[in-house]
Amino acid sequence: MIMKKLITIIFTAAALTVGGTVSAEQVSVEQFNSAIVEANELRKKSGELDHEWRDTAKLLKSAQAAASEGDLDKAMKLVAEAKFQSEAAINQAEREARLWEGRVVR
Amino acid sequence: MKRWLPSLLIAMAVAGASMMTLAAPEDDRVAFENYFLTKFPDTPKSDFVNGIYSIDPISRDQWLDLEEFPPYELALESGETLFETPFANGKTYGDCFDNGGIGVRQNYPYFDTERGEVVTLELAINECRTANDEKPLKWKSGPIAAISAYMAFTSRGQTINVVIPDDSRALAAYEEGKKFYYTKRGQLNFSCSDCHIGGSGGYIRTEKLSPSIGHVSHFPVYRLKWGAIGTLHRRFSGCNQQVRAKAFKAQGREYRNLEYFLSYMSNGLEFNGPGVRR
Repeated sequence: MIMKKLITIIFTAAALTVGGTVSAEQVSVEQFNSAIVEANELRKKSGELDHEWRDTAKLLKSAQAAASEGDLDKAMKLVAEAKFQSEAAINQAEREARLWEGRVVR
Repeated sequence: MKRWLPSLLIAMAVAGASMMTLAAPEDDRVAFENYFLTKFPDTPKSDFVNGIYSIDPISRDQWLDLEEFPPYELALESGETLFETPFANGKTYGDCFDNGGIGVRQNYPYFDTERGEVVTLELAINECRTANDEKPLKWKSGPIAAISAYMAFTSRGQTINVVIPDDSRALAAYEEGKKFYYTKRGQLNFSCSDCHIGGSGGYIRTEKLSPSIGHVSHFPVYRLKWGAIGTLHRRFSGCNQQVRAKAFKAQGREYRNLEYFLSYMSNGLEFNGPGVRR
């Protein structure tokens, strides 16, 4: 009984892994285009808040280059990193708006 | 008596609040200065104009050796030549500045109440050019740094005395510079103050961090790392990039206001630029 359950879990996990891999391989150009537009909007927002990070634009540029070479997996990973950076930068801006005054020497 | 008493009290409260607001920058400066005087009790106040060399005896010795034949001398010579060379219309930089541009470094940065913004020396240099139909120079290094270095050299010994005029926009510029200075930014999540207040005297990798007080006094500087002379805004830009933040434009509002705040923090110290740094 326990063995049956274990086998079921193993097969289910394997199926999910394969499914995930397949879906990652099936990133479409449309999905990439949509993702990079979203990531670039976030980058712009972090810039409007005076908190854009140094390498975010470079990551997006590299993502675009990877996509142009047909490596959409790499491109999506770079977009995800850029998106993460921009979200973190926006969080930083919001956090710092509250915290900076606490550092003023008094 | 009773009728006008509330109005009088309100007027007094408003005046008091206004005075408190205007007093804030000076409170900031005194606290800033006292922090460093307490942290580095062996450093005389006047010596903070020497930056890291004011708190690090070993690098001070190396610096004093360098100053015997300072690497900024060539820039000083070219700066003087550029400064004195007439524009195409026959006028010179000297025509744009008080006292012919000699010994005027201490007049910058200032808040221009007509324009409603901070004016730095480098901004004034380029505005002198455009007013005389010359192309503006690049902001961070090269000729503008050389001209600025020459003008700073003629102003050695003059006292930093940044004034915040009674203008809400001037106070806002000061506050924006102050906010910038204390705000963490970039992927490494560092503020200027993290390194140059709390971290001053400590190390990042092999480099000892300098105290902020007196930071503006010796710019432009010849940095051995650059192999050339560069402006204060070039250094701001480099610091921002080192913490992996996107740098702001040299002579943009952000860095001019930062310079305004930082210069105010060093009021009372002497200009001793140009300097030499690693």
